[in-house]
Amino acid sequence: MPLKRREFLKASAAAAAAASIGVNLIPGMENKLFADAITWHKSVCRFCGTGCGVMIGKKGDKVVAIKGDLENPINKGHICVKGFFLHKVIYARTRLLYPMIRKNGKFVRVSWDEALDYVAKRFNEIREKYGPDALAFYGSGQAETEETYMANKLFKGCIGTNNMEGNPRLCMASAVGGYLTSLGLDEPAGTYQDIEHAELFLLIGSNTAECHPIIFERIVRHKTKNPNVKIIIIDPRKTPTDQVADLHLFPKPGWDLAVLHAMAYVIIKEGYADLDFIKKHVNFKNNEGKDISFEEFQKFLEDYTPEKAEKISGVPASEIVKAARMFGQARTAMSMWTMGINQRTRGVWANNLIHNLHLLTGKIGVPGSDPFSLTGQPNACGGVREGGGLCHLLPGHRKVTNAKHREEVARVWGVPVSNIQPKPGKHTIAMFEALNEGKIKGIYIMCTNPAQSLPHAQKFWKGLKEQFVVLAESFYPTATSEYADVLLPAAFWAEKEGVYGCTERRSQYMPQVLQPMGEARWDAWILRDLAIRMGFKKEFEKYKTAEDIWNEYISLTKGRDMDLSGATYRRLKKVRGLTWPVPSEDHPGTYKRYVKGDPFFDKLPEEKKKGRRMYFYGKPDGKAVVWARPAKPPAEPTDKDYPFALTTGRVLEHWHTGTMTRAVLELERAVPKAYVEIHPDDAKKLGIANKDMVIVETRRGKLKIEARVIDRPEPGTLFIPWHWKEWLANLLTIDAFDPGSKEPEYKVAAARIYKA
Amino acid sequence: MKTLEKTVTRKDFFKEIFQLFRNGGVATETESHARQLQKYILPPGAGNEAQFLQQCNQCQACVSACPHFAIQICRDETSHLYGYPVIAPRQQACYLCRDFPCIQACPTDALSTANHPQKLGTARIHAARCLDYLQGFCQSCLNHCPHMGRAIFRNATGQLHINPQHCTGCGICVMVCVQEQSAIEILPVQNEPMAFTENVSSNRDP
Repeated sequence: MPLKRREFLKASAAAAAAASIGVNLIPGMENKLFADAITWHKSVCRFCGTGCGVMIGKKGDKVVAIKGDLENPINKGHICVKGFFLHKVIYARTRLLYPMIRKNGKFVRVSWDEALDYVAKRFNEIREKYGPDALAFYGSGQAETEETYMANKLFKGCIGTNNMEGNPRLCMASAVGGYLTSLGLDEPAGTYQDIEHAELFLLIGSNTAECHPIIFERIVRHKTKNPNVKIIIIDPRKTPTDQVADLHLFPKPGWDLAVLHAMAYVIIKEGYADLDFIKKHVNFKNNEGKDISFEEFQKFLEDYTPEKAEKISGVPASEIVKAARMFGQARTAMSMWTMGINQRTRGVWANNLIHNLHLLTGKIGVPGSDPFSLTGQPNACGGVREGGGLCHLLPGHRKVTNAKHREEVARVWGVPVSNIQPKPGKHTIAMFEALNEGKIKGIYIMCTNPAQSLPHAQKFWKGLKEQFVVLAESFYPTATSEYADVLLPAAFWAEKEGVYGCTERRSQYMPQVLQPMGEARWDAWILRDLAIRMGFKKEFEKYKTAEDIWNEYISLTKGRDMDLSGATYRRLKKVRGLTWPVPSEDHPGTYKRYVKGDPFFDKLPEEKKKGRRMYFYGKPDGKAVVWARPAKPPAEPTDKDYPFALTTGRVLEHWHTGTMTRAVLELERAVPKAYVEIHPDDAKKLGIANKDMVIVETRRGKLKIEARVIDRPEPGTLFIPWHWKEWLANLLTIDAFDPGSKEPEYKVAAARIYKA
Repeated sequence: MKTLEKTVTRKDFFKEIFQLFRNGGVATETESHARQLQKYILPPGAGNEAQFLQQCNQCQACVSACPHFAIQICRDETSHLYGYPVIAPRQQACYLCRDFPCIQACPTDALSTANHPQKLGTARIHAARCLDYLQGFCQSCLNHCPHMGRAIFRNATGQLHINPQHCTGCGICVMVCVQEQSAIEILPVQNEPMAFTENVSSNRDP
């Protein structure tokens, strides 16, 4: 049939249009025209806890590009420089491809069967000889919820030990303690949507521009559109976040509790307190947990007038008053904080004091007002806090100490309730100390790098070296693999499906778009196969797909405050995540907790809600608590011998221990090595010039490192980014920890510095 | 590809010339495609390029003196600086040492403190390549700039811009740029539209 030019064009246009939306006009036709085209799959970024949506561009059987997900409400198409290079991390040269066992001091490639049989045999031997508490698990806030759930079941439910921890202990535990003690339930009440409604941001102990770039970008965009938006920063170091700051307070590292108290003092004294809200929604408690009155609380604050706080913290009184007035006058205010507050021996208290400011002024529970803790890891909230991946928790915000909780979980797990110990296990520092002492004989480490990330790291290398260490990782070598006895290759991001839960309580689904590289396997299947080999066939053989695990997990969350039972895979595959509580499949997710619109608030009987806009249903009387916590110094204040306060942190281009970002050449060339930032005045006194090699020394160790003379840290403060195992900042940090949250104080250590 | 085929009219040409002055150190797409990026800058204290090329006897004393290995001999045959000491900021930027060992080492006064050694040039962002302009969030250049917030800053629209008054042209931004081809370049001091002014911030090597 002769084809006219016009018809031909028409037909090809139709075919092209059809092909571009993925329809083939002729069934079975192979679409040659678009055979090389990139297909895009929606997923979630592997890095920080912001939870940005990314699109994975796959061409053939290779991931070739990453772009921001325009439809994702979190990042709206923007991604930061780390996420942009995610596809290069997948194909990093440092990927671990085969199971390996250390034989005569050297790693030898073995088959999966041999490796798992060996681990199961060793673990069973230890369990029989020394009891279940001689085994331990150390997981990660980067593991998917399904993976943490499987580990939880294996260790707490089947092996019968509560020595099941995760690295969120090192980053989030104080925030959990803060939320629990102040508001009654863990995790923020608001979401990122509050950013667009806030009039004031209080960024405290957070370098948002480098650590949560997309949240910072949202703040900048919001401020650009609304010039009346004010930003207060409380940080001992000038950071790139300062770009947008209206006021920056520089407390001495570890002494900022007094500043927060003084702000509360000014807020009450100058009448910015919302007395009506306080009367209806707030209880006051002193440090021992006894009820006190509002007047007694005010009297307690007399010790922290701005003038007294100036003496303690080094922040000028006038600036504290200014900050308090800005906080009080703003209609809505949002606080954000990260490790500068959490990684402290008084982390929980510092968290409490931030909540205090919001509770006193009633700046909570309305759009734009929220004390909002930022998470450092993509699934610290989802997998570990909600999934119960810490030694005192069970899935669904449950506690091991609660008999009812143990029973509920044991029933779903299909294990006798006696298996789950009623006593919390060893927290991270205690666990690695027990490893040193030989009380723990075998440990399974998944998706994390404790040999580098633990504070005072060199102290814990002994235990890792002596005991039986199984490491499931996607990368090799890492600092921890030097001490491992068995290496199990784990599938990396995009090679496995699962759910990540980010800072704003949003659970998002990630698809599998690639076959795992080499012989790598999904962590959950490694744990399942290991469990079956250890003799827990009945409990574990039922899991065939990731969805099986997820469905069991969400059935456990039914009726809990973090109800995810409506967030099925079928639904999560379609939407850009859901913010819990999602009690049913037709529920759209909850924007704010404790207020109207929260299913738990709506369900409350009318007499409880009467005259109240918020009901903190985690507390018995529905009232949040304002704590009168005294200001305590850091564990190791500066002194004559060690006159500098050393803090550690991150840079924009790298993430955590650098196993992922340092494998990307573009990022590695941007920041190839560690440095210590020192103020020009201090440098001049000590005769240190820019780029000189210096030695930073604390009571625990010393580190030879390059000096960077720059006016970012305050005089008397040093800063080292901790991503490099060659320049290991954690040789210097202190392993003292918060008595409440057991989170170590990475952020303050006394140090001295001299020319090498 | 599209921009390569585009013909530049007289009007466009003038528009862009004047944008050079207006844009706060950000090059347009056409400019980015129209010419090769500046690969080399002269060592501190070189001043006028013609004069430097005349005075330098290629003794390499500054190359040996540089403590950061920033100054190297140009081995790029396509460059008119072939054989002369240059700084390739993409490989190693200049840290503008307080005492300028390169100038002290120079026997011929080709490098001289009289030539305002604290100003090597001015950075220029190529928006067509910059991740931050392409819907990403990256501020590696800003984070690493010794004059963070002054030389490179986010302006009222939240975008990265250069302030030539504060930029020393040290090239650290070029060195750290995460793009495969740097999205930021240093225009040497004698080539840039706004020549050196006395207002340049004096606290170099902070």
